[in-house]
Amino acid sequence: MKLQVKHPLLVSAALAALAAMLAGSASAADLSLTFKVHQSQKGALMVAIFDTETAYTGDGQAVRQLKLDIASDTLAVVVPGLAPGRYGIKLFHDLNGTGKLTFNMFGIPTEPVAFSNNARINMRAPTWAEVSFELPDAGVAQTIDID
Amino acid sequence: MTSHFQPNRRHVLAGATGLIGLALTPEQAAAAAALAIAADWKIAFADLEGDLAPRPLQRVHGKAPAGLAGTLYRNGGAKFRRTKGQATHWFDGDGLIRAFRIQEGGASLAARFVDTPKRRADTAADGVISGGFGTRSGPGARIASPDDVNAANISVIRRGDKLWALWEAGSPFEIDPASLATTGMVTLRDDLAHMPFLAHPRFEADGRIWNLGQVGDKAVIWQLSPSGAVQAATPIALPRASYIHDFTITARHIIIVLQPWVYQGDSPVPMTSLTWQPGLGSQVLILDKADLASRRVVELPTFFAFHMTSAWEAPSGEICFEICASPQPDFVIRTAVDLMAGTYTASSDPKLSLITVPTQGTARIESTGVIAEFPRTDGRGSGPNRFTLHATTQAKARPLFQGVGVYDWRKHQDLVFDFGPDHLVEEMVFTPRPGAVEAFDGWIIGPTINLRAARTELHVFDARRVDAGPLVTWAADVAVPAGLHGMFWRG
Repeated sequence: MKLQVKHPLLVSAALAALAAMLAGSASAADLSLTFKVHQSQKGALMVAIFDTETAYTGDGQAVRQLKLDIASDTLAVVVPGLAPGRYGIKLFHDLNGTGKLTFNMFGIPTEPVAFSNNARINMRAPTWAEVSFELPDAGVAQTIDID
Repeated sequence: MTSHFQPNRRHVLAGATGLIGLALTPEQAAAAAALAIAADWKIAFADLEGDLAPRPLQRVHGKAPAGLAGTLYRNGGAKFRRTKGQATHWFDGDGLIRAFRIQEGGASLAARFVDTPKRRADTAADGVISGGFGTRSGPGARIASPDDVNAANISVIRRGDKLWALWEAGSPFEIDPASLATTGMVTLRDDLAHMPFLAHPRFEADGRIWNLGQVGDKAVIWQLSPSGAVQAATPIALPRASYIHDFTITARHIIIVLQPWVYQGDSPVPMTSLTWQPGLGSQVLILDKADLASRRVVELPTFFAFHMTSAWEAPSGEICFEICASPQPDFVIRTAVDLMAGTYTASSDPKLSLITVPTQGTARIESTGVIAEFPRTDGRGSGPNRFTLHATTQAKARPLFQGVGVYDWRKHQDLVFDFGPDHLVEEMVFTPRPGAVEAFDGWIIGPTINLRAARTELHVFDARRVDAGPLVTWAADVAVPAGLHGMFWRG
């Protein structure tokens, strides 16, 4: 069986201070995120938020990176200060505390991965069209399941 | 054919005559019976809609031998079709664990589906969206690793107080041997999650386990303790990306047959990535158990095979093992696809063959000429196998076998019991008589599907006298779809 799932999902553990940088921008909206962790309750969620297809698809820079320690099966967080527009999210469940998505010796991820819109990996990572959503001035909420 | 089965024959003719409502010549009756039989085989590949609660089996004839007690665990796909789609290959049905228990002269049957993410996703979608070896995945599937299409449907082994339902390209599933309930997917070690694990592990006399996993031309050699804990998982490179279903071992070596059915390209359906290249010939890769980096590759003429027996090594270092070899993989490519569509396409016969690999010079494969699949040996001792148990007698106008055979390698003689066209014979296994010392002193145990009576039957033979027919036959009140592999657990 040949299943090669490639995830350019290498999120550094450091939290970017982008929120502060953007605090003064003219227009900003709130992105409310809820994460439901269905399996192991250990470790952290490593979340990367992208604002372009190029950044999402390639190894481009995320506009926000979050590390959320898992304290319960539901985590809620509000990401403030994002410019209204189109966004996509990918995340992985860092079970082993390495801060990086871990793969087995045949290149299959050994940690759960998830995407905005609950878009699914189906032999390949979901596309920008499948993960992206509109963030209007009034803000928006996304609920993402992690299996 | 013993007298026990003659009433079935008469029933066939009587039924066919009754159907047509006219007196028939024997030739017409035979033709009508053949037509009726051709339609009947589909129950062996039908869907089982739910688990089977434990139920007693009814004794048809004979008597259970004194001293025989235990459970025959078997696995195989048993749910293939849903409203919005179906498996398009026989190897992609949902795994069903069957437990045939023999106790105090009686027998019972229970069966339970393995609770896999694939079965859950397909049930929720009311389709077969999580594909498999020969089935395409559909929209809406979540396939992050091979375990999302893991049907846990090829074999089942018991280690201590646990069963493992085995697939090939993903993880084992742990099953409770009493209730047959799924405990969960087995991650052998965190960094080895979702690794491939073949359905034919090999066992050392002390219970330690060797297994192989494969993705294309990469493989992993698993070494597990008797209880199933990982001792090592060593990556190796294969000389070619052959289809691998089974492998074997000697006391000192691991033996991997590399046939010229080779993964090429990147189709989302693994089977359609395989290309038959008979010009390449077949190869045997021999690894040193003590040093997996030490290897030897020998060339053989082209053949295709699923299964082989335990191997042995002469004092000279010459390696021998038995293999059920066909000229080409037409069963898996064509027959196993067509029968999901309800049609039977004949394929080439697998023949019991002996492969000999001398320490130097040319390796050879010699056919006994005996049609054989699902080979099983005594399992005790490390020398040449005296006897090989196998399914035999390719049925006419329908898939699989109708006989069970025991090949005697000393006499070069195959003793056969032919159940006749009404029975589809599944894999049978050998278990020694308690206290037995001699090779093949014990019993052969396995099911058939009585296509005429639309029921699964369980048979026990004296392993040395298989041609005399079953010592005892029990019948279920249901036809369980044809399974693949399993094992007998005494006690």
